[in-house]
Amino acid sequence: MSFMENRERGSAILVVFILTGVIALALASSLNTAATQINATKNTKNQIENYYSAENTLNTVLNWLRDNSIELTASLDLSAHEFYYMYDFVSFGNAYNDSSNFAAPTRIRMNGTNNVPMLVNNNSLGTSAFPSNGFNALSSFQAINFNNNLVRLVMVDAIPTNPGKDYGDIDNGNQAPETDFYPVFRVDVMNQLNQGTYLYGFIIGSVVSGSAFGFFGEDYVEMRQGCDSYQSDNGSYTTSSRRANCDVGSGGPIRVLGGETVYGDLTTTNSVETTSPWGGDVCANFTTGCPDQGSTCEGTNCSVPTMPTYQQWSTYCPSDLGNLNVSGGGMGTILTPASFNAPDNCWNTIRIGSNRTLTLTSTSIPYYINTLDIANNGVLELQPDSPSGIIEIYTMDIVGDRFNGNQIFNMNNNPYQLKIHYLGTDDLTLNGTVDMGVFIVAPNAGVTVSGNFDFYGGIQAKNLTFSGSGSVHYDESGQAEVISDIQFTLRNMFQNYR
Amino acid sequence: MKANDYGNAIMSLIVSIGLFTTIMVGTTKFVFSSTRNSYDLENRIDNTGNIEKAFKLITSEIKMLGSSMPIGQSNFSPEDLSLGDASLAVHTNSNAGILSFNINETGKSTILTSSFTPGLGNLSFQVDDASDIFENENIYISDFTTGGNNGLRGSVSGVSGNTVTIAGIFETQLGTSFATGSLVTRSMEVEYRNSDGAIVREDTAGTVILAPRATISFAYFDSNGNALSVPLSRAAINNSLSAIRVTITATADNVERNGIARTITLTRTISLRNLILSRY
Repeated sequence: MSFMENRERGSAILVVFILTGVIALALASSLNTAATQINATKNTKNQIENYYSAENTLNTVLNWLRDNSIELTASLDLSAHEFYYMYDFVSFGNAYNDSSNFAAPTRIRMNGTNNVPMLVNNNSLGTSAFPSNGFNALSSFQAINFNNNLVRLVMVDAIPTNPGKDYGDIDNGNQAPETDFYPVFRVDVMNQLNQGTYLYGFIIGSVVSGSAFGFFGEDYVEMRQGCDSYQSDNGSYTTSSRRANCDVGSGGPIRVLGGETVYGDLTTTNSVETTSPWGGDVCANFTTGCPDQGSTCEGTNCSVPTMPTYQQWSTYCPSDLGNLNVSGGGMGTILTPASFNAPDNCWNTIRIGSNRTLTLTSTSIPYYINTLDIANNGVLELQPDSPSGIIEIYTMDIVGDRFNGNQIFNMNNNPYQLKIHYLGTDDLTLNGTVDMGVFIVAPNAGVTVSGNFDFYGGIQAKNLTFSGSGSVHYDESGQAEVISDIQFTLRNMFQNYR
Repeated sequence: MKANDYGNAIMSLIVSIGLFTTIMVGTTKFVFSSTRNSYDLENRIDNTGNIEKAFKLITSEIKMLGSSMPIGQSNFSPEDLSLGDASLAVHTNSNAGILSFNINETGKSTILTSSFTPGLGNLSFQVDDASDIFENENIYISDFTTGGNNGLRGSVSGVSGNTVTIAGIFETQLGTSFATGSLVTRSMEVEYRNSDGAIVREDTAGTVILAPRATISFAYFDSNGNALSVPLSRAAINNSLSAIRVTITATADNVERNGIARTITLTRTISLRNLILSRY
């Protein structure tokens, strides 16, 4: 091998090294530039995605409220009668269960606690507490996919729809409110506890009041008698004053006996049964032959209210005046509660003996009578102390699970001037031969009207059967406005990026 | 034959050097060309990135526009002339080249902890947390969270602990009273516009250049996508304005190898969620 050949050895590798080095430098420079830009773009992308994720989650919360508005209406129970049994007002401050760094000042607490109604999907934002009333809001809330965001929904306040009719907490001896309330929620959404997008807004719930049905059975309604309506404020029922607004509703089937006529409307989320022996007429007016059909709405698209909710009896009456036995002395006894507060308007048992009369008068203070025992010839008479005032009786038990128009006598007044809230579970029967005027709410029991008498008023019950032989007339003057729904609206939204 | 080998080596060397030189020239050209392309690309990416950064802020602020205000309050209507510009989330001087609006920059709010009836002898009120309220800045009070329909704008003249005092000139309806729990928010007037070939953002703290060698333009739309004419009327702001389309055109920092500085235009339409929400 020559000298030159020896010198050439290794030159190729040198060339390769030099070329590789130059290319590597150029590549590294390009990669470095690209990596910087990619990181910057990635950060911007992440930030934008975080914003949209949080905003999407906030809308998800709003949609959850809207999708469950009927259930939440029952669960929150912001009705006039129940409100102060459910909630307390306090000075604005942080609730016990809203303990995070993001605690929001709130004015409302669950009755007798320092907890605000609140739902969280992560305990780092506090501890959930929420009224249940037949709907497990917490499990429903926590089942939602919030895109890994942290969420808190807190009820900041509740506002009376008619502030002049809110007399303050009944626990302080005030008169019960005569107005419903609507909720103000605040919803907070954040990507992470200490970084990312933090978004919050306020959600106002507008209470939707609807008319209660004249006759409503949650499970079913069986009309073996027809019905019509009238307005007792305009005078007594006559064939010339009758109207075709006997509205019947149910969450289950409605059955109208063939040959009977409902002069009004039928509404059910289930179905109206028409196979024999059912299939009676539903008429919009009294024209012979029923040429104008009344409205019939069947199926899940039809809207029926939930039954009113009530507290445990011990909430209304933690103590009472004991037993009242109307059995001796003069012809009758007039009973007027001394105040709105237990025990002044609570009795364990009131027994009205044979040929004795107990007269109730108070239209401003409800009567809470755990057990009402009226002898066959005893009379519970109603004499409202104001011309169109309503006497309200809450009871758990009516001995014998039945009464007639003699035993509870309200025919000198308009039917709506007596409202019985029957909270017991034993089915109730209205019977006898004496006409009866009353509004009854029995959320836990079936009610059967079976006697040979004319019924005036309205009934809401777990199930409802008319099987008597008299006539049935819904009193439109007693048409109650109930909270049928809450419409949730998002207002001012705030956001920042941490 | 050995004598003939002399000269082969020098030939080999010359050929090798020639080849090496040719390869190196080609490689160098390639590297320089790649670097130049990379430089141009980086230039464009930088330019796009600068626009994106500007957009990020602008989008975020326009989306939040009005969050500080009692919008949707019937007693603090944008159509109430007596309130001046206090009730306008977007100001009426906004046009194709200027966008002027109110914003809560920090995303924080507080509440009144006692009721407040503003009047010449009553300019102070208590809040839950005054850490985000500063002297000489505007605040708004809205009582929508307590069931009211009122609003107020005032200029903060003093903050002491959680007591806030506003100046004697404020905008609200006569006789308004705010219940405990009313929302109190800091607010700032912000303006985006073109200035000396750049996009600037101006607020009470001063003027900041958002993007040099760039211009911005605005178009205004209702919820159906119909363009609203400028200047915007109070009624249009109150009832119709739902989105703003922002267009930014920016010229790159450096010229490309063709000797021209590339121009990039980006357009984005941003919905005004608080204005939209106030109409439900």
